[in-house]
Amino acid sequence: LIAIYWKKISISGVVLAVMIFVPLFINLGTGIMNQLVTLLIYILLAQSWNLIGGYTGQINLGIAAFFGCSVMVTHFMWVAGISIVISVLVGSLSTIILAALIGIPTLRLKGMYFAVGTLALAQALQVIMQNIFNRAIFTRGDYVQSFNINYRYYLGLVLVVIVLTAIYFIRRSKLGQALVAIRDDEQAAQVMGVNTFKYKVISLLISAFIAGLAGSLYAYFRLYFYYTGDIFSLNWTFSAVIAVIIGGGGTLLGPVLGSIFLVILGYIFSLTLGQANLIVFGLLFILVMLFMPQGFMGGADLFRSWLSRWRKRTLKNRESNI
Amino acid sequence: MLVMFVVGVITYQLLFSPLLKYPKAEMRLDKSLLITFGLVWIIDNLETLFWTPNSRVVITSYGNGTVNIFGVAISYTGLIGMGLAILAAATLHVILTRTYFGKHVRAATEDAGAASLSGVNVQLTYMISCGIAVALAGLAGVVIVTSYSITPGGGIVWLLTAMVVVTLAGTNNMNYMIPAGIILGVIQSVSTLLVNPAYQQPIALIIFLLIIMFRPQGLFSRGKRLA
Repeated sequence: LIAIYWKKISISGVVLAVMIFVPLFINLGTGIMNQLVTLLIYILLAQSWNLIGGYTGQINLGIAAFFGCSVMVTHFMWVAGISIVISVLVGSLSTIILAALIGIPTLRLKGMYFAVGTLALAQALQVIMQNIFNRAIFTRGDYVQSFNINYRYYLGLVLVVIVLTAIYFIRRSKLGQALVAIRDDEQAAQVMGVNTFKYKVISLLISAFIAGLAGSLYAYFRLYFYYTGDIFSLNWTFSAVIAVIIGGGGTLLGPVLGSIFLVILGYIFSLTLGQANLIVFGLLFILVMLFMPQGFMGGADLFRSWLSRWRKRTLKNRESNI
Repeated sequence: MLVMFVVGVITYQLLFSPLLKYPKAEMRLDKSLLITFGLVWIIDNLETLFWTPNSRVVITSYGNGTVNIFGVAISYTGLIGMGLAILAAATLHVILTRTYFGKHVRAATEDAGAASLSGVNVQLTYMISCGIAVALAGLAGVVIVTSYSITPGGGIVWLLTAMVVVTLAGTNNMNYMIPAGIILGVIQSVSTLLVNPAYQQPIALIIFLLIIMFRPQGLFSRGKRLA
């Protein structure tokens, strides 16, 4: 097994080693570390959307609801003095309740009900939370004093590695086959005996859990939330969707690439364009949607096939020359 | 409205007609959902950029005037909005049921392939219906702006309201849109008396979930069940 996959394993091992050891030995500065943690959060969010949108083909516009729910639960548990690992777990599990609440009625029906239901959930939660917590929320003072960005970074790295391996194995399991079958042709999958409703709900629950992990990482990362509505805002959903679509939905590495792209470009554009940077992403999103529906990963495949065709052609030319 | 019609046609030509290459209707639906979502994002941010994110109102000379009908005070703007809604619904009903274009629309909805085989220009039908839909949304915007304050990014709220009304009435059930709208409006208005006015939207969501759980075919349809 290792002999077959040695290339993949060694490449990911090298990347992982770089991600682990570089911040240990080189002081990157808080700014870059902040960007890296943001990147990890985006990767988690994008993978969450990838599972339900890319693999299962259900459009979820309510990632922000799961994200925000987990942020709130984790934040308050952590401030109450419970250790961060337990609060991360509980915060992420709390999203599952929310996902079941919205998913079980809407996933039974076809069409836009699921998308609209999740969007409505996110909007409703934003309003409710804004009204309940109408003041800024802070962490405890002693937590602020002992703030260390490296802890956040390594927690995020661990979560990302776990999620990526989990999705890798899900894709290769029976569950993953069922999900892809549902995406490609739900009716056919049902006829073949796949319980599509069950698998869609399972996919949504796992996806919500991953979004919850992203949320709890965010809760651990941020010290204060001035405006509670912000953590439920549409921006989070949109970032996840855009990262997946640009990177390529239904692939393992696509959302990662998309998030890297999003964070780096976001950093550059927000410095140069100011407010207009969000519009650029919207335009990019629509263009990719229309002309490159498989995203970067699909683009890479196209490039590869073009390359192999080109190679064959040159070989033929050589043969004919000889 | 005419401008909005043109906008709708252009949007269709630019964004949705490329999607027709996908063979399956579900796939098209998913893609168009995502694309419109991106469009919402772009337009919201453009509005924020050009007109700042502050709330705005349009103050009209008749905005505060009311008219007494059987002892109930109704504002002129509300009355005008109601009149426009009834007019638009009636026109749409006539168009959809009494003209060839309406027949084409219904045929294209039921089976695009068969419709195009029997000589319906499905592309053109889609384009014009998209234009009409956008124009109606523009009309709704005109009514909203006279009686509510508006913010960039506030459109999503109205989108959800519209979706809840459609679910209440049942999709493809044009005739019951107005009663469904009235029911939702009354529930939301009464709820402001009982709980915090800010919770109108969660209440709409709860209604949506209840309808989907118990009567997914809509409140009024007696016909076949969905899914």
